[in-house]
Amino acid sequence: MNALALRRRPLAATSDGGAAPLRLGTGAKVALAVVALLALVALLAPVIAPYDPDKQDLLNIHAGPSADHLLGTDQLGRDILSRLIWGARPSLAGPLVVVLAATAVGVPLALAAGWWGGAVDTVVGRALDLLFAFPGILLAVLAVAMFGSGMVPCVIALAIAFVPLIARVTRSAVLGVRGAPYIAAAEVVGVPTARIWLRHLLPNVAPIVIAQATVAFGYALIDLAVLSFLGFGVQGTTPDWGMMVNAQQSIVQGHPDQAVWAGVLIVVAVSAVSYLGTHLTDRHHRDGRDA
Amino acid sequence: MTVNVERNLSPPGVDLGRFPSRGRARALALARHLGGLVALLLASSVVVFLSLQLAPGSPESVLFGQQQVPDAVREAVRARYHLDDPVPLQYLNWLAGVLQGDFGVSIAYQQPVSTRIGDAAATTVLLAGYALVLILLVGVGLGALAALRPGRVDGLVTLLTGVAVATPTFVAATLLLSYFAVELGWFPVYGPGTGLLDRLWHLTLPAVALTIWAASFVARVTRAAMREQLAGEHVETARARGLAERHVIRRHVFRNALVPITTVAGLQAAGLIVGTVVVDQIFQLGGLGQLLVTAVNQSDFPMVQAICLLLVCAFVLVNTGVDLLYRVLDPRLRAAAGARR
Repeated sequence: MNALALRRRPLAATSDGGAAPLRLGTGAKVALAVVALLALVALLAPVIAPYDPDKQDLLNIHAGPSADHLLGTDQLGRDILSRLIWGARPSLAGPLVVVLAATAVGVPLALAAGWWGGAVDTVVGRALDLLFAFPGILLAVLAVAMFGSGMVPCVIALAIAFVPLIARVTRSAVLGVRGAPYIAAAEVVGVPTARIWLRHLLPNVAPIVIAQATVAFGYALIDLAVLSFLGFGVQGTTPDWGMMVNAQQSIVQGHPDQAVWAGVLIVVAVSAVSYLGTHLTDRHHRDGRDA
Repeated sequence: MTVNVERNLSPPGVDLGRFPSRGRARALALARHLGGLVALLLASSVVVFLSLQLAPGSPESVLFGQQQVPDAVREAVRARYHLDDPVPLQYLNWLAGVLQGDFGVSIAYQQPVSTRIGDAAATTVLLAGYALVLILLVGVGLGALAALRPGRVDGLVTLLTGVAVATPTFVAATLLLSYFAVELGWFPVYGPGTGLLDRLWHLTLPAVALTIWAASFVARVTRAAMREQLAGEHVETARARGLAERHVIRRHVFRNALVPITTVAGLQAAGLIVGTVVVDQIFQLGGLGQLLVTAVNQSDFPMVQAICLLLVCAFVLVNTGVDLLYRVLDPRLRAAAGARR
């Protein structure tokens, strides 16, 4: 959510033109607007949700859309719209934490591997290969088997599983910059390594890291939704989009409404985010070629 | 590979100095590849084993729950699951068993894990195979169609695959179930079915659910790869030489586009391994996925270990297989790998 504000800065700062503003195509602007809207809905859930998402009305179950309940009610008579609105919170905050944590771990690893090369690179590379052998969902299932169901083990496991996704791209970006004359110059002049990393390395790899993190957000959203769907993620009555898709009994009885709406929201969120991510990646490659 | 090495060694030709060394380098590269693969598989097995061994809550607490049990019984259970051995020894025992197809005894079912897994694995493999065939047919078919028919067909395919690529498998599966099984009643809602034909019929909706996302991915890559080839000079040359268009498409466009197509199809095949877990659970097919979810909920650690290990190994093997296939399809990579390593 707030990451959107954060994303803006490094992008503009590192465009080669110097003062170039954030240039986004029309499609990307729409995607950004969709993401912002969803984030806003999540933030303002207490204000805009018409009902308490947990309030049951057993006399009014599986009601169709009406003026009272715009999207109808579920198997316990809860307002579907309110549950979708509240569900935006775990559904979006979860992947955000996953991606931030994976980036916080993956970027330093990749910087070290790309900068020092040799043994460091080999060790980091092997560790990433091992992590890459585990599909994120499987790692999360293992974590759930260890610590029990819940959002926390799922998010931690996915964050670990997503480290290679971020680190691999970052490492190759670092390798690309490592040999640049201005880095060599800084080294020769005796600029401390930490300063070179912060001032020269990070700003240069930031755009591609952000693009990759955006793409990863989409994957994380799907993976967390799957885990909640399987009953391993969000627990109890807390609404979550993934959990709402899992309305097997209502579906079999011919009331797929909440599953359909939650599914649609997942599709919309994922398409917006991955469009944005792809756009940022493409633009980065284009800029790289121009320079 | 061995054939190549021998052939390269035998001719007392001009390049005597170069050929044998190249063959050896290639064999060496393959050996390193296999060594790395074995190391990766072993490391994964350690992770799977340790994660559950270090988990809070031992098997006996799962078995007995809160009830009071005589110490002798507790001892017997601990002995049965080798819980008093040092952890490295437990791991080696487990691994030795696994290599002989013995995954230990399921805590929940009190049966050997392997008897439970056998049938389930068959269902999962059948489902994944079915889905893979559909993915390749639909994905490559649609992609090629879009590449060769610019304009309206291309636009339609791009639009469809654009939406499908953002639809997670579990959402697709739920919607398919709701519409085609519940609403229209064309397909069964639950269960694996009996007999091959009935089984395939039961697996159709799940397989389609797995296909939607993956096939649109394959279609997009196929389209892009074929477009790139179509614009190439070699295609222009082939056409200028008067080769039949069919021949040009098959030998010059499709053959060259196969490398990226294989890569992405391989990735999808690996992705299917996790995908089946979800779909299996939704349609209650009784495959490995449903077994895994149940085992996790029951804290049936030997079962969870076995299924996780199988799935991770399958994932690693498919990925390695794709890597090798890739080299077969693109001779340039083979030469490069041989020269570098």
